[in-house]
Amino acid sequence: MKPATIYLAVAAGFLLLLLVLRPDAGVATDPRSPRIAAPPAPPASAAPALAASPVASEERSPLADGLNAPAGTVDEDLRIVATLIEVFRSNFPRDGNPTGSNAEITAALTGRNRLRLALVPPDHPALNARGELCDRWGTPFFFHSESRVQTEIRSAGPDRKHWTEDDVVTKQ
Amino acid sequence: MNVLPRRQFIGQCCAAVGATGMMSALSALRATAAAASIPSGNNLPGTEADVASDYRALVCIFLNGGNDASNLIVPYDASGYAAYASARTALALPQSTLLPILPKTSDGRSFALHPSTGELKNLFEGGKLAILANVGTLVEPTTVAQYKAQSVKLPPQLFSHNDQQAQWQSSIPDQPFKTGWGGRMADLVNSLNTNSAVSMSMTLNGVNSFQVGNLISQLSVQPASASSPKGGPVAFARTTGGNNPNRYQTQKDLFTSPQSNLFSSAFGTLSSNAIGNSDALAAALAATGTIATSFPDTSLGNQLKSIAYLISAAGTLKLKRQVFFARIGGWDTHADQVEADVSLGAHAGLLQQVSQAMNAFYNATIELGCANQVTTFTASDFGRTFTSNGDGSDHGWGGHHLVLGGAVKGGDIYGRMPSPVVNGPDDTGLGRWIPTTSVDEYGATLARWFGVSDTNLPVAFPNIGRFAKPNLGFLG
Repeated sequence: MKPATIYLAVAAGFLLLLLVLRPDAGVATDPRSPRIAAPPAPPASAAPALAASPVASEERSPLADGLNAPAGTVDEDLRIVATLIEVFRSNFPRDGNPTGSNAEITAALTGRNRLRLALVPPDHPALNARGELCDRWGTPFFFHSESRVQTEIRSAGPDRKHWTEDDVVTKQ
Repeated sequence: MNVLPRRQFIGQCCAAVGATGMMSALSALRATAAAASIPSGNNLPGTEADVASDYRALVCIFLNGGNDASNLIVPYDASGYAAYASARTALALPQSTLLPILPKTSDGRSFALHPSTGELKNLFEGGKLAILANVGTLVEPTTVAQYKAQSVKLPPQLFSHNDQQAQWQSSIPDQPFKTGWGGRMADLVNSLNTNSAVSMSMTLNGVNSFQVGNLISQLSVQPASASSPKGGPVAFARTTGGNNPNRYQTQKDLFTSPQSNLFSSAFGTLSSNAIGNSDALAAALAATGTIATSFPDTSLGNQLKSIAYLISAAGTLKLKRQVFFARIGGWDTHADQVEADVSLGAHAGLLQQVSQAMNAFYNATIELGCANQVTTFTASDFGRTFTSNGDGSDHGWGGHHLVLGGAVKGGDIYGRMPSPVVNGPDDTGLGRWIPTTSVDEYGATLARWFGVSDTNLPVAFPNIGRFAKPNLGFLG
């Protein structure tokens, strides 16, 4: 196994551990928890990961805290976003990664899902006015849905234009 | 003839492995085993006489990556084009470059084709090409209101390549993938083949979900090339250092020699049969005459050229039904979709390739005397966003498709073209059209023409009962 792969696995495991060991662990994953308002049951046939109800999470997820941190790098940012998507999928294993536009994926990550699981706090500074998750230069990430378990995440880089040479890309 | 290493050869012959598991692989090889008994001395050229009068073939052209069909068929009337240009911005094709078409029936709007598709325009005007409007994966009929209210079941993982490819090819989006509708059709009509020695399902572009069946499995065939003008079955590598008949025969003898355990014996039998089938199909192709129609030397052109030869060999192979699969990639045009000169750019090049290859293929079927017996249709992951991302378009949902053939009631648009308005009555946002025709309806219409009975239609398309039109009427 390549060192980078090991590093990613360890980092993802650590972040998952953080989530699980929080004092409010179970809030996010256990719908029976009394500490979070039970979401209205979606229609049986509704799209699984997109609930229409507003987000009302009581606890703040730390997973996105390092996103776009001044001391960080865009590579670290992409790893954080990849982990967010992976953790989302681990909570909705039958549904897979969130898909759609940046705003739709971000909505899912900020709690518009049937567990109202907000992996990204709705007031996170990386969110723009259109509800899109942005890179450290303020450009919305581009999410390329390749399969239910694989999403390519693209930062436009310093020139703020997608599909140019300074783009930075990772695969979740 | 193309030569592949042994492992790759076996793998391609067992093209269904992975999707259907070993049982399908075994059935694929069983289905092809008897091909070795086809007389190799059949010298009949591949002429009209070789295609039986009750022969029919379906040819799927899969546009891998998601075709931006909104630039294939473009609103042409003043208000429609204005809405199109406003939404598409940099992607909008200049109106003066478009190729206007006059469908036999009209909903009051007018449309035009992409400037790179002159051959398709001619086929449309000649009544051989039909346009299917806004086709896509659906679990049940869906409106924008229902989509927003989430009051209907939606195909899972919309906008995701692999998932939507699998759902297009299975037509059962609400179930885990098991079989494709091409494979299920083949299962249902294979009894019409008087000799099922060689599989009626052939793929010119590797393993696909579309042709995975319960009984009939896909046989991988190499497309035409400079060294193999007709294409042909994947050949067994005779030696690693060149063609050595003695070593080749020795390897075949090893496969047929008695083995001490069941696994070795089964492996030997399967391998031996696969080699025999490959040789038999190659012999049948070799016996066909040369097709005079000129094909473009492109990926799709060469795939369709080989399919034409395989059709011409149908008489020798005693096949009265065949399903073919061709595929062309590059349609995921997030960037560089157009250039300042609209005749350039990734999408224009791809459409030109499709237009020229489909035209050549149709002409070849005329030459073979079977144009009325061969129907070609397009499929793709999804349509693309009507809005531009600045340099291209992103993943959408419904898209327009093409059906070509002598039996097609062409020169018309079937289904309803979406309103070209972002956030309008057909849009889920960004110009991702909710399909108004389901893959089930599209496929069922093709299946009925192919010989699937109304009774068996729900076997091929289990969800067809949810939709209004099991026959869209584009085939005679």
